[in-house]
Parts: sequence; structure tokens; C-alpha cells
Amino acid sequence: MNTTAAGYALICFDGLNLLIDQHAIVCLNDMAMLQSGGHEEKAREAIEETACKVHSLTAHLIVADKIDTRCRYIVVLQADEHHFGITVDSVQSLPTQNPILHSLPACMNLSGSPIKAYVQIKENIAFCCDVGTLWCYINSSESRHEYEA
Amino acid sequence: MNMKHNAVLFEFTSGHHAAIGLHEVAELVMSPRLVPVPLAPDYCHSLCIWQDRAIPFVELAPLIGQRSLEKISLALVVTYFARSNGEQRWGALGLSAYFRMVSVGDDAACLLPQDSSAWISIAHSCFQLVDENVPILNLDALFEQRLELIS
Repeated sequence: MNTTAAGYALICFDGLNLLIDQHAIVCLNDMAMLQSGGHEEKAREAIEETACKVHSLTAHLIVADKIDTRCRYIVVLQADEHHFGITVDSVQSLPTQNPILHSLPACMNLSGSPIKAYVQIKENIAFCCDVGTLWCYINSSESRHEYEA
Repeated sequence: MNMKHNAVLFEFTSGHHAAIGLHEVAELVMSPRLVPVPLAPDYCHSLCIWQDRAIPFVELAPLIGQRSLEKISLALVVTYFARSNGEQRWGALGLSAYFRMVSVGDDAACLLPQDSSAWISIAHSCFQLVDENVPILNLDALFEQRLELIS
């Protein structure tokens, strides 16, 4: 692969750094107001306003059974004609210019995984996430299997 | 270093050893920096940051249906040439204790252990050491293909 990762946004949640194609981001909802009071009702309202289903994902990309209201934003993503939201701690552009996108080593590359590549930024790794495959994965039983077990 | 040494022997789960060629060892890293990879198989769950590279980190035990050693505190960085294009590549094997160097000759050749069908996919050959059959790993096979976990 080894192409550049220009045009990607860096989103972070649960200690995981993901690169998302900027064109797949529909909007960003700020949940900062919810952090001070920790009002879950307000969080639910904010989530409902996005008019799409919102998920919280763990660092292992497992779908959590509750929305993480400590997150600061809801990023609404578009996969084909579907919109869905994920809660995140931060959204930013990549801190380096033209970082190189490396393919995951063959031994780690699962066919149904949305993670196929990564970018190395010094000692940090950001994983490139295909939004279409992420949508399919979130809707599959595999995304919840480990969490329930 | 004894000039007759030609292999490195390491324990990957309690009482079970594997070996690689001495020429395949790049470095032993203490307290390696590991970055978990979402949805990666259990046996290669992380990338290891080594000399500004991100290289795959593999634990043998889950791959052959054995329990992992409790404390993986070392990474044995290894190098090999990819069969597909001849490129030099690096990977890391998780260890909990130091390896030791041994001398292996053709007269010690034996059959692969029968405890896992995975050995045939990831080992070049095998040698007898006291009463243990020790597989010699095929690093290209281990790092350059996705292997099914043995349950």
C-alpha cells in the first residue's frame, strides 16, 4: 500500500486512534456540555437529534452496550446511504503532512475487519478505518459477541 | 559466543520450546512498546514499535492451543526474507524469559510435535533435545500469512 494518508481525519476514543476519510464525516455534535453535569438525559436528547443510531466502541472495536456520555463528540458518518454515529473524545486533522499509509502485516489482516492499514506517527499508531466496512461490522453479531461473552 | 551455536531456543509456554536460526535474531527487547491492533487474531494482537518501525508481535502459545505465559516481558526481534518478493522483513516473538543458543545438527532431526496441527504450517523442521521435539520456526510462514487459531 504505502500511499499517503492525506484527506483523513484522526478520531480518538478509548485510547484508540482511528483515521477516517474526511468525506465520510457528515457532521460533528459537541457533547461537551454534558460532561460537567453528567446528565444522561441530555446525552440521550443530543443523540436523538442526530437522527441516526449512535454507538460507543471500545478500543477493540467492540460495540459497548451503553453510550459513553463522557465522550466529547458524536461523529456522524456516512457509509453508502446509511448514516450512523460514534462517540469520540477528539477529532482533528493529522498532525503530520503526507504520512505514509502502511498495510497491516498479513498475519493480522482479517477479511471482515475495517482495519487494513495504519499510519505511524513517532511512537503512536493510528489505524485507517474503512467506514463502509465499519458500518457492516457494527451491524454484525461479531461486533457484540466478545463484549457479551 | 560458541561458534558451533546455530540456533536460538526459547520457551513459549510452560515446558514447551521452539527454535529459530541464530542468523534470524535481530535483537532482544526488554519491555517492548506494544500497540494493540483492533480485531487482530489473539496470537498476533499487537504491533511492536522497534527502531521506529511497527512490526507484528506474535505469541506462539495461542496459535497452537496452549495457554500464554503469564508475563510476556520480552520481544525477540527476528528478521527474514519474504518468500513473495524477497524483501527483508522484521517481526517480534513474545517471550517471558531469555532464550539460549544451542547447536543443532542433522542427526537430531525428528518428527514435529503431535500436540498441534499448526506446527506443519509454521515450522521448517524439528530436532530432538533431550526428551522434547523442538520445532524450528518458518518465520515467513508465521508472519506472512493469516493462520487459523487451534482451539
